Amino acid sequence: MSIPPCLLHLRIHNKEHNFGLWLPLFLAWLILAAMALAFLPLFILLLLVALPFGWGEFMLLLGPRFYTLLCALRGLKVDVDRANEKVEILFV
Amino acid sequence: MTENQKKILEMVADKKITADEAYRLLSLIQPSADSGGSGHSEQKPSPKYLRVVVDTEHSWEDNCGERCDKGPAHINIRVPVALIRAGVKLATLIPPEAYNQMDAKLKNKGIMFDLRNIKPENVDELIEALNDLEVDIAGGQEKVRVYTE
Repeated sequence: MSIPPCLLHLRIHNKEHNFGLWLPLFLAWLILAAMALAFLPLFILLLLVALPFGWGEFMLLLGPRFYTLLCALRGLKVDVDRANEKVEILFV
Repeated sequence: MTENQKKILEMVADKKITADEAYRLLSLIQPSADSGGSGHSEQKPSPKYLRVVVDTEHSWEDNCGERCDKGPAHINIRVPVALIRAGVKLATLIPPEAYNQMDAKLKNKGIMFDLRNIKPENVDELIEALNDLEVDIAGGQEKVRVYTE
């Protein structure tokens, strides 16, 4: 089973700053998961209301598709290099 | 000798084709026979990343009072192929009303591009095609390279 990226490596190098940060994304996912659980009853209620209007499929698929998108972020790397400035973003 | 070469020689022996035709057929299948030895060309592994590399001689910035040149820039983006697939799958959920608004906005900007035409299966085909292709655009002071790895 694939999991979303756990860390985000941000590196900024310019005249004033030169630092690298490892941001713990897994903490954000944990908070999101807790929020999703908290809002689950409300979601089920909304789903029951939306089903007759044809929005049921959209609501059911949105969660899994969004999760797949998050998982696929792993490996994304953006590297911008300009005179005296360098920014690097990497999802690990 | 490969299976295909044998078949061609048998066709010559049965007088189904002439020697010239056999020669032409043999020369057509020669590259695949040379590369694999078994008559089948080797399949490249499916790409994992789409790489976009942009090199510019000038990069402009607006927040320095007026538009000022910050010199040459090099942008290197590595996008997982899975992210493209996931994005297209997510885009299929966009309601038709939203699609219509997006189309209208794109047309206003002179971009005739219907997002509904992009389907997950099309993306797979496109990525497979990119496996054998490298897009190289060099125009003026910018150079863009798109390839898979």
